[in-house]
Amino acid sequence: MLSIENLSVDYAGSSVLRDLSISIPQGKITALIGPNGCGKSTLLKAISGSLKAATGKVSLGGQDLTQLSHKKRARRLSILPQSPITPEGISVRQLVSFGRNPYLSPWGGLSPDDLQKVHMALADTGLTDLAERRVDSLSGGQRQRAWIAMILAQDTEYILLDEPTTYLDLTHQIELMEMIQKMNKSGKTLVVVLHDLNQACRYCDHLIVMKKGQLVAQDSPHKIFNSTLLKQVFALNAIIINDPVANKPMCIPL
Amino acid sequence: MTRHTQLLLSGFSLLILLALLSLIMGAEPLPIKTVLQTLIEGGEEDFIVNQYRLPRILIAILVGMGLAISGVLTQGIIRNPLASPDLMGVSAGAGLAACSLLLIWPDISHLWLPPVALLGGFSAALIIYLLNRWHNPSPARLALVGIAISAFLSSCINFLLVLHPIEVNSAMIWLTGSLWGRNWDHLWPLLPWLITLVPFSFYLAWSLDLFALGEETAGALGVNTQGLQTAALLSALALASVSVAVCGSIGFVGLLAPHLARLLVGSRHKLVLPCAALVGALLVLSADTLARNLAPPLELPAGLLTAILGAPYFLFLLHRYKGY
Repeated sequence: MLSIENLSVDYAGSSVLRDLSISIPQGKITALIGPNGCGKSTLLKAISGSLKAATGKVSLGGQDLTQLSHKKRARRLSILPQSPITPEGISVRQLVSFGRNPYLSPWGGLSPDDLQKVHMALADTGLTDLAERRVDSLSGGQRQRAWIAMILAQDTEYILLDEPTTYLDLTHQIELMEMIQKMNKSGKTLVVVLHDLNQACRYCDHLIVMKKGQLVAQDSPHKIFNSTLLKQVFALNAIIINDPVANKPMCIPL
Repeated sequence: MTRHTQLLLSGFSLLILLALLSLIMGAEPLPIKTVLQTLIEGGEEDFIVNQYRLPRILIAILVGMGLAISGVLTQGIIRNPLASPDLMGVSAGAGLAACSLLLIWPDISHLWLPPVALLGGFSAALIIYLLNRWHNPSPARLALVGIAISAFLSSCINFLLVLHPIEVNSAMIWLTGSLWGRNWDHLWPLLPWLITLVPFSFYLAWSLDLFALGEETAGALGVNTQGLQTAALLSALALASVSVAVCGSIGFVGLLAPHLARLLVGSRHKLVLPCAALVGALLVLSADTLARNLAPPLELPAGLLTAILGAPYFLFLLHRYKGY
């Protein structure tokens, strides 16, 4: 289990996360929600180790993540930042093969097993036909799928995605959320930062609600997603109805 | 054979041809037959071919490779199209250190040149790092700080040369970069550095590809980003400094070669590195061959010729990346 204990992170002199304790349920899809600047991305960065924690720790199955080597950590947990830099002149296949980095020996190239994993990741994201295309020539939706394929090739138990739907149109957002559900069905634990609250409720099993660097609530949408919470966290007046398709709570702003 | 391997092979053949041409041409042109014979069994022309032209050609090739690879590493880590050892003060710092050493102890062994130049290059880089550490500088700003520091260090070189007047051709080495009078004594001190640093930079190629996705993504993929940055920048620093130690700062090679290589083979470092190395070697060797042959027996400094090509390209880059 991925657990965060008493985590505080300071950034540029001010505290961004304050004494945060969260446990991510295994085998589930967890949505991380909260207003802009509440520390969601910072939390992901602290989990991935790219930001140092002032106090507290992040542990995976009881093991402190900072004790693991870079490669060992990357074999257990993958993370897709909000806006990764699309390199010029790299093909989709090459990008996806970067996901195999944690498994490569310093001098060795990709093994047949690695190539098989890359092949599978391309197939699972429907990118087989686009494998030789340059990533910088793809549309937004295709490009996001290529990043997801890279994460799939990394083949980790935990997958953290920072606002994966932000730059996509609605069709591609739904496509991506369904892909996330598919990944979950194949046994992955996912943590996804989302802005669309209704999508968070519809596709995710567990919500983590944050405000100003602190935890407000964590539980299933049915239990915690209500108008009081929306008022408290987002300063939003809304009514909650039942989503007739997914049978999950759904908010309608007033 | 892929298109890229073909390209690298033709680049290599071109380099061999150019080297042969450079052996033939000079103040005293030699027939190719004599050159080949002398290369194998010595003879009457041994001095011109084996002692004068050959080491100079080899140094041009090594220095071109060193500067080019240094440029690829710097641009890969700083992710700045304008980054290169000479635009960041490293070359001027290394040049000042090497030049001071030779003016103060004219008889010192040439083996001391690379480490002393390295110290100079490192100090210049440290100053630039300290000047930029408070905020993440834009590419143009970083280049500007580097150029200012370079200008200051170059004027220190000028001042030293005024205080200790030396023969004009030797002075040219430190003023614009030149291969004048370089021989086997200058080649040997260079060799151990390049033999270790060039393969090491190839070893970093895959990680540099991942680093291009951004520090955060690379870190998430298991790259030790801080370790990579340190290793690549120190190697870049050392490659540029030892090159400068031998023939001064041959300008713009570290900027031009990586850009040309990316244009030719794309952005994967396992291709960019060898391609840039070839381009760099071709650039410096052709500049020096031209420098020797434009008005023999008079010599032009090779650095002047690379600057004629490099300065307009730098202006073009500044224009292209205006938005930064």
